[in-house]
Amino acid sequence: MKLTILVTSPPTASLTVQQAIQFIELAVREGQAIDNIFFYMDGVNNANAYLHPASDEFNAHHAWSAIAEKFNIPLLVCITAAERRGVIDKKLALQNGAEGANLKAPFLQVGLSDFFERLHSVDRLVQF
Amino acid sequence: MATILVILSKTPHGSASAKDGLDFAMSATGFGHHVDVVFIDDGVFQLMTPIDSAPAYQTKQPFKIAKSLSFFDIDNVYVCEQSLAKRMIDKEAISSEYTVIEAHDMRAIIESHKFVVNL
Repeated sequence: MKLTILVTSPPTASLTVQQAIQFIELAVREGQAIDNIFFYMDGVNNANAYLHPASDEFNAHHAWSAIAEKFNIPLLVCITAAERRGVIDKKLALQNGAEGANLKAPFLQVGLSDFFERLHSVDRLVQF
Repeated sequence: MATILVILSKTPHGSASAKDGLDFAMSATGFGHHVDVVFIDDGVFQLMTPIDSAPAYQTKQPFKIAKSLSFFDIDNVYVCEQSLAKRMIDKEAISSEYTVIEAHDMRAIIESHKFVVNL
């Protein structure tokens, strides 16, 4: 079965994010394919590389990057929702005259169109 | 083509989420999906028209965007009756282009869609 994970919870909802990551670990271990993880609404804040919680606290950005690399899952971030919340990649930073970019690989900026095109071949959509 | 039910449950101006939720619904049909929308809980406030004396804040009005859903081939727009009643909103104040449903109708509506999102 092929799944898409839709993340609309912010990184500060650390229990929800940890549950999502646990769900993905289990799903992959049981042989399910994760087509992509899509960040939308306040979920785009998970892609902010400038997040620095206290060292004994959960770091959502690190956790997403690690799971994406472990299982080779694309981390797709809605560009409109992200730009509205100040989460931008290098190219957008240059365009907007911003001093720094806070969206970096393995996160990737895409349009909602990418999400809906991929959805055609997906069996289940799971939202966190 | 997938059938997607978009459940909108957020207040219109409490965050950017109401706008994002409507954008999501309107984009989906452009990529060959069938979309139906439900306004539930605080989401019903998205359908309210501001009073004339309201200050002119710089904000997009979700009720205007909601009115244009039919232009994006979203024909079934449902509004939860219990959510309206709990918030003392007269269901007569809701535009006739929306279908007012009972909370217990939700189960059948959810089951008739492949994907359900709560935005």
